[in-house]
Amino acid sequence: MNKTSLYKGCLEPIILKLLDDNGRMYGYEITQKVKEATAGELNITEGALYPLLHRLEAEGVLEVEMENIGNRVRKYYSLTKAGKKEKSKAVLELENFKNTLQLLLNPKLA
Amino acid sequence: MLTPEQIQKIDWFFEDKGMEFYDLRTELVDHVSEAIENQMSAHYHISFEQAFKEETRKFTRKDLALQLAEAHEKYSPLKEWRYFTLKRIGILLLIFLLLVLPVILVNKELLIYMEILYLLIGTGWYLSYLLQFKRKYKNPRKKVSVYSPERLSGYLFPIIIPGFLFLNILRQHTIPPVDQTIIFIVFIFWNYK
Repeated sequence: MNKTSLYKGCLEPIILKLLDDNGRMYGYEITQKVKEATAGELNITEGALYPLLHRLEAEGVLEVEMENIGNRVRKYYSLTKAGKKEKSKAVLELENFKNTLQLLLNPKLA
Repeated sequence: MLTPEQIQKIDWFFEDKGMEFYDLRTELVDHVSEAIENQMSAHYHISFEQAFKEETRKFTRKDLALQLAEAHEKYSPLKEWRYFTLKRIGILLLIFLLLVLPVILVNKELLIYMEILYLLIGTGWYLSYLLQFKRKYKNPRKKVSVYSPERLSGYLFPIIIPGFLFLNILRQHTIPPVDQTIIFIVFIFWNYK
């Protein structure tokens, strides 16, 4: 199993947390922010990011705004009210997951 | 900042890969454009062509096909009706009334001049539309004919429909029936969607 598969399930809480911290973001910005924060360890591919963003948008977790940037149009994502609740839930789940792994991998620290 | 031609090249890349949904393509175009801009500003020796090759290589056919399949799954024709917001309906009705009221109020002898004026406005409007189209497809990669049957009918509609509408008013001197109003609104929706 490569590390990309390990991170796959964590993408949703990561994106929700980022959007909660930064207000509104666009696709490329999200990939760069994650890359920067993890010092290049986690590189979100376009193939993983956009389907997830579109699913969250369809579920009402995210809302979008289109803006003209020079010669092109940019799509900004931000959390809806439901999205803010969803973010807290997802981050808590991720925290629990991390603690469970800690119990298995390093029982002394846990 | 990339030039409109460079943005168009990126757009064509995704169009070629079958990305038919405008919003999806727009998002990917912005993504690749920004990635290319960052590459070009970080490495001055890299040309647009080199950065374009490198960035578009990341989009595998499989990834794009999956995104497209997902978009197809979520697509609902009912979403098209979101175009008709209250604001738009209001504006359309206002335009319609502004066009029709003078025809009803004006002296019968002057009606023919009103019709000529409207036809001139319609023609001018479509000439500007034609120019806009020509400017957009300055160097078409595929031959895009502005005189294709579909486009031609698009240009003729604003002349034919108001023409019929005002001929009807001239003959009957009554407010046009509801069906003509609907045709008018559908025609605007068809051209601007």
